[in-house]
Amino acid sequence: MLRDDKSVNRTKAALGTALALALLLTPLLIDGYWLHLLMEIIILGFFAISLNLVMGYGGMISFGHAGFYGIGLYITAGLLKHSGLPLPLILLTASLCGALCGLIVGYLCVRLRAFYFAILTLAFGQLIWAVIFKWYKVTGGEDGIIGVPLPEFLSNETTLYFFILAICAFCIGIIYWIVNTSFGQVLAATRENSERTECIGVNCNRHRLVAFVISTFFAGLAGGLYCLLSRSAFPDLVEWGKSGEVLLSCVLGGMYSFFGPFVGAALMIMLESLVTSFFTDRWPLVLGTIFVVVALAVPQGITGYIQEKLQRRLATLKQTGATP
Amino acid sequence: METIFLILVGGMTKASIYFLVAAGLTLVFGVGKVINFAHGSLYVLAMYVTYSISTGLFGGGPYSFWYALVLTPILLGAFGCIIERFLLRRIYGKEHLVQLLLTYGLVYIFQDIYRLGWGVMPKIVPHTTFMGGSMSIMNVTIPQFNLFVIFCSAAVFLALSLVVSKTSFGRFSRAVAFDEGMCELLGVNTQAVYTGIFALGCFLAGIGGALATQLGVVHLGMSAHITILAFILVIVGGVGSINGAAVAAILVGMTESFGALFLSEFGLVLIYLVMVTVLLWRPFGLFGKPAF
Repeated sequence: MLRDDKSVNRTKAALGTALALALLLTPLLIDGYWLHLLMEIIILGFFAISLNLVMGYGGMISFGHAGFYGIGLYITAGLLKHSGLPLPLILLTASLCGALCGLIVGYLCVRLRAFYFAILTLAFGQLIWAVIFKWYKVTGGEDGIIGVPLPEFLSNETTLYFFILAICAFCIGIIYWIVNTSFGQVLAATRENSERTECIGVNCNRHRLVAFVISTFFAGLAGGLYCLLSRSAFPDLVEWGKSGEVLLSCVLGGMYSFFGPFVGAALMIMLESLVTSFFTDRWPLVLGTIFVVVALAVPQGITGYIQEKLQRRLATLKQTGATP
Repeated sequence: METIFLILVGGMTKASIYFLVAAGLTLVFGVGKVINFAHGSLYVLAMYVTYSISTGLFGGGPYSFWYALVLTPILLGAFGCIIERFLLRRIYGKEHLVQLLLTYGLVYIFQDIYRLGWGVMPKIVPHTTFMGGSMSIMNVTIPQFNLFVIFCSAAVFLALSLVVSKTSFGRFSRAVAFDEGMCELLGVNTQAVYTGIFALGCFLAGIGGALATQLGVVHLGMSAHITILAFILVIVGGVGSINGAAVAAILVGMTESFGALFLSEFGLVLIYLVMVTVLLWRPFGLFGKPAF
């Protein structure tokens, strides 16, 4: 109903254009801390959208995405530090390694449903974390990898911003295209009713696996991009806390809307910076409370909530015969 | 030979603690159908409570730990009732994702509560003098306490099996796990069963946490590891099965101990290999049924 409405579509297009313009022009207005924050939002938003391909569209709750993110992060950090490879090749390697691990983990997990899937992906994510944490010789263990050198052309913060923005926008575009192809439609069908979908001759598990691999590919890339931003890699970013953070971004923003996770990610990062600037170390408590409140009050997410309200509004308007 | 025997006892001690945690989780999981991510946090809370009771309340006397061992599970059980009544009750039957979010949020909240209440430094509960010595079996010196832990866990296993199979509470729980709506129609107070099961789960985590304080230090970063391990045990053993939890705990405890011997730090990886092998062979766990 809402989708057919021309005025809503026009509003959406206008909002999109405004957002794109804003993102292009911001580096002229802000710099330093705020630009850094904006880059964090873009990367987390991209990560959340990639996770949402599995969660919102595929109906699989992955609690281990931080593992694949971490693989991208550490591979980018290691290669930038110890090899002279060109940056695009490094990022591609990072993403491919994420996707490779995603293939192995996904192969073992996609046969399982609902919470089995969540717990198993969580276990594998933590396995990746444990290996990174313990393999001191390669990953530096708890100390992580610091002082990652960036290529010459990214030394300027504004260039880095546009580099990250361009890659994220391009990849989000690809994901948008994927969810609107027949593959994406079938994936959503497997979420809605896997038995019926199986009955019309679709191999559900294969679709789930492909979606999982695509998602982990982009998760690896998001990790690689984050390495460019932070110039370091720490095991904390691979732990289940990170998986939970990105999962909450998806739910907070709304899993059943394409850009919902991005909105959620922006909210999360802004809230974190706000809370930590007032109470330095009470962030876990606040974050925990947000989790609980979201679960109890708005499980459909912010965008889902707004959409519901809008739909109800439109319905009442139509009933009373008034034109919106 | 002596090394093997020592590792065997070490593995069984670990398995005993794991069983106490996993048994509570599997009950909550099997009956309440709630995915409780905060179960490991409750176990860590039990460790901190034990520390406070045995050092603070009883001033570190020779029997202070034993008082704590009795009091902690009871306190945890009562606390479990409160959590169940005010939070979990709202999410029964909701989507898995909602349950994950809520209990995962509790993990964060608990994490900050430990930090507020007990600080960031690791805590050590003083070792008891009673049962704190060691004894020798077949020329191998073994800490008495390890044997006590194994004994406790075995006793809990027997008691739980009896409660589930023989008492009316156990029968109600199994009936509620099977068909909640039908139970309500027949006049079973399902809410009370849910509260009881959750309290029982917390009680078991309390015993496990209290015992575990004598085997190592208490620190902030523990809950993730034990939570994930407990879930692995539940999945390997099969949801809702106490026997499954026991077998899985022994399997994983042994794997961890022997893995540490052969692969040192990477022994952890073996646990995951065991898990994957079991799940490839039986996707619903050793003792699980495909229903849930």
